[in-house]
Amino acid sequence: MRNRKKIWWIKRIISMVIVVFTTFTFTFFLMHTAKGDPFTATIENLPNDVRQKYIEQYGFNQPIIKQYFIFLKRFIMQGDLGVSLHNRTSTVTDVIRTSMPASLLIGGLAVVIGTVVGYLLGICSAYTRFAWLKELISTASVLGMPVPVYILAPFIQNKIAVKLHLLPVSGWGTWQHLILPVICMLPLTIATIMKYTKGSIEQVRRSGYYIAAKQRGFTEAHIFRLHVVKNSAPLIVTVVISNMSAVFSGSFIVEKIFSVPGIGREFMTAINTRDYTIIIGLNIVFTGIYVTFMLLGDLIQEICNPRFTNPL
Amino acid sequence: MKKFSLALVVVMLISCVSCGKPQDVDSNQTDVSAEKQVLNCSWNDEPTSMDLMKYSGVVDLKLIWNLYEPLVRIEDGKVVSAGAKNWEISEDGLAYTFLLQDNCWSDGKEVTASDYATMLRRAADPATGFAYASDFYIIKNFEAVNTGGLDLDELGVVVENEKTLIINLEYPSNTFLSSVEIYPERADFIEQCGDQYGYSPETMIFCGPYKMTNWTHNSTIKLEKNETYWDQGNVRIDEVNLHIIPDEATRLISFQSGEIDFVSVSDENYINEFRNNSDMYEEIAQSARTYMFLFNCKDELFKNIKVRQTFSLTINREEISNSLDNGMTTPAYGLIPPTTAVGQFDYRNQVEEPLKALSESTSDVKSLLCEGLQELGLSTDPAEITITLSCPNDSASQEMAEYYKAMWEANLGITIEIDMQEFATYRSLIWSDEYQIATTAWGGSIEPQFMLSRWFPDNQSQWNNDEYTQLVTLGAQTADDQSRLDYYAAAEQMLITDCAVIAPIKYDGYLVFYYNYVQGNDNNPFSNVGFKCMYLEK
Repeated sequence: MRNRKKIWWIKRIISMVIVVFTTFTFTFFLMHTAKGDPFTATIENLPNDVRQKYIEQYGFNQPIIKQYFIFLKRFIMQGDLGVSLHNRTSTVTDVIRTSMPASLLIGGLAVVIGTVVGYLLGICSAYTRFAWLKELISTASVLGMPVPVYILAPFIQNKIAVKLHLLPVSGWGTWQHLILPVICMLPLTIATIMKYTKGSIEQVRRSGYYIAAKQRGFTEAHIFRLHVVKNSAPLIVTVVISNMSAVFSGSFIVEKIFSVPGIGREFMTAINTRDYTIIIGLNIVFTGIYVTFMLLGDLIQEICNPRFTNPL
Repeated sequence: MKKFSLALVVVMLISCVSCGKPQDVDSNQTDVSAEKQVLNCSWNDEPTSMDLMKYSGVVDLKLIWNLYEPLVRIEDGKVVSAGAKNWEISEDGLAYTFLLQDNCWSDGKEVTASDYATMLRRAADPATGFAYASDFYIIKNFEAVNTGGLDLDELGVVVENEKTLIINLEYPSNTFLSSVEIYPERADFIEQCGDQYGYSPETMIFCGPYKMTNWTHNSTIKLEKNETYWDQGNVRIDEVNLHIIPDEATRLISFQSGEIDFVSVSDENYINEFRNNSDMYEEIAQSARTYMFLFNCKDELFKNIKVRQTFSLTINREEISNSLDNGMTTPAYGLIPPTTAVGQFDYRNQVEEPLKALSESTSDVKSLLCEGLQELGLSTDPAEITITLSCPNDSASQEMAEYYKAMWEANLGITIEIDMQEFATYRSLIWSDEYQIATTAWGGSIEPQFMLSRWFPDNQSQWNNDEYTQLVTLGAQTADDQSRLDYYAAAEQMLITDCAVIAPIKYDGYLVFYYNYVQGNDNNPFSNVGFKCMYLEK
């Protein structure tokens, strides 16, 4: 039994490595086959001879397969993801070090607050006896989910920053700069968590063990603590884990609108300027974080339900 | 219900946090009442590097103007002394002798003639790979050195003594001072910083009106008055906060809330709103930039001049400028924008826009198209023609492309397909021969030579014409203003009408709104004074 579990986890970790490697390979070839190059993308009237010189200097004139193996060897042997083609002093690690904290801060706050609020609203919606309240929360969740940030953001910027002068419109550096971006990111998280919480609680409340417990005379609070939380947890944990992993890659739109110096903007800039090393490096890191979080999700599922890793 | 109450408390807590009056939210706003003058402004993009050899565009250049002192500056369209106190031009016009100001670097060392020579030597050195080296080819032996034909010591730059610099030219030119920006660079500092030079305030050294004290990437750049600058008495803004705000709506809202002191606007709703605000005033700025259609002259259809002329003549330029751009741009019937000069002459006042004459002499545009198609041996039925119009995939370009499509389809009865490309791909596409018609824009310098030389061999239109190259080169090498003007006019006519290599659309212009306390703006498109002349009035 224990061995089967061990094999399951080993298989799981191997599949993670394969996913990261495949992402790396796909990103490398996709970027190198896309039209455009890092030099004409940034310098408008770059003479052809200078461009050619740059291409030779960076080894882009070599066969693509050769470039791939050089990159792969450097990555595996030295763990070196490379240096930005536009800023020779900036490595992938530097980009992550300088821009990921901002994304983590606003994204992390949004996920934490959104999860707590969404969870509470979900419980409230599942348990309330008032039909109107249930309807109100459901409608708010349906409306909250699809509101795009680029519509919500100017609206709250106008109301809170221009009309009331309470907070800065955009920028970075003080705690006030965090509030508007976080508010913009909340509706989707709250609505998603609320929807899943409500759904999973209602599912538990329809199950046989819930009805049995109820008939045995246990209070609603007791059944909630004992059965509902534990049995509704796996689904909610999966959603939260998935939201958390997305935080690491930043939110380009929120970062652009609120001028947050985050990783999402760095990634988009790298794509627009064909900064191959940064694109590939960040993509490997994002994939690595994502699969690690998925593994973490499985681990939590395993704790909640030991049968998880023991499929028959 | 208890749980619902708890949820409500959480929501209210969040609301309270977000509505609490922040203590220092206004700290970055302009305080015009205090003695210290702080200017807040916004930029769309993040600069790349302050290493003069690595700068990649206008954003970098605008910062360089404030941090370094060129030999001369252009103020309100006129060449004025800056790093050079004065200069003498030899009788044959081939040697410029500059006498330098008593200027100092931010570490206290004097700015010397060797520092200016360092920049030119680095730019000429082929090992540097300076992207804009061809702009310096007027300097003696620069091209030969840059292409590896001559040794670096052969460069036509002589350091006479610490304060005297002599620059020899290939040919006499009246535009040398206004078209070539020469800055000083410290060889010892560059060596000390290595690859890091120019990427952070710690690896920069300044000799201009301002020094950079902070650079939070993708967020804010802080400039402070440089106390070692020779003309610091005339620098009135003490501190500049450059907020990097890529989103246009956010820039406008930031201006509305007073977080930035001026902003350029194209949105009609905001223009009307700002016009009704008595705390603001507006200025129309010309950017000396011409928007145009590029024809791929190697394309099966567009290799014919008459076809190209037809497409150029059927553009509703007045409607584009007046209706689509709210009158902020000017219809373009030539390449060279207004504000361009040739010596004492205002170019556009002297030279009629070439397309106007062609338009008057062509009565039936459709028959011109038929003639072109016949010459190509193709069917003369316009309905059988399908053309691809390439443009970048941003929303503004997409909107314009839809208009152009409707315009040509209505005027010519042909079919237009729009090919939207992501920006980096698009940049690469318009330098290849894989498009038919594409949109682009080129900015100019004071004299027309820079813009006209974009169609020297190896250009975006895939068009080579020795006569044209010769006309522009002769113009650049001619000292007499009238003769120079004639050369440039002939070249422009060839490009726009005789060969119709491009179809100009509009001369760019934009509206800038300022708060009333912001003064000393220099909106001349060729000025490079930066923030030096600006000030805030109580």
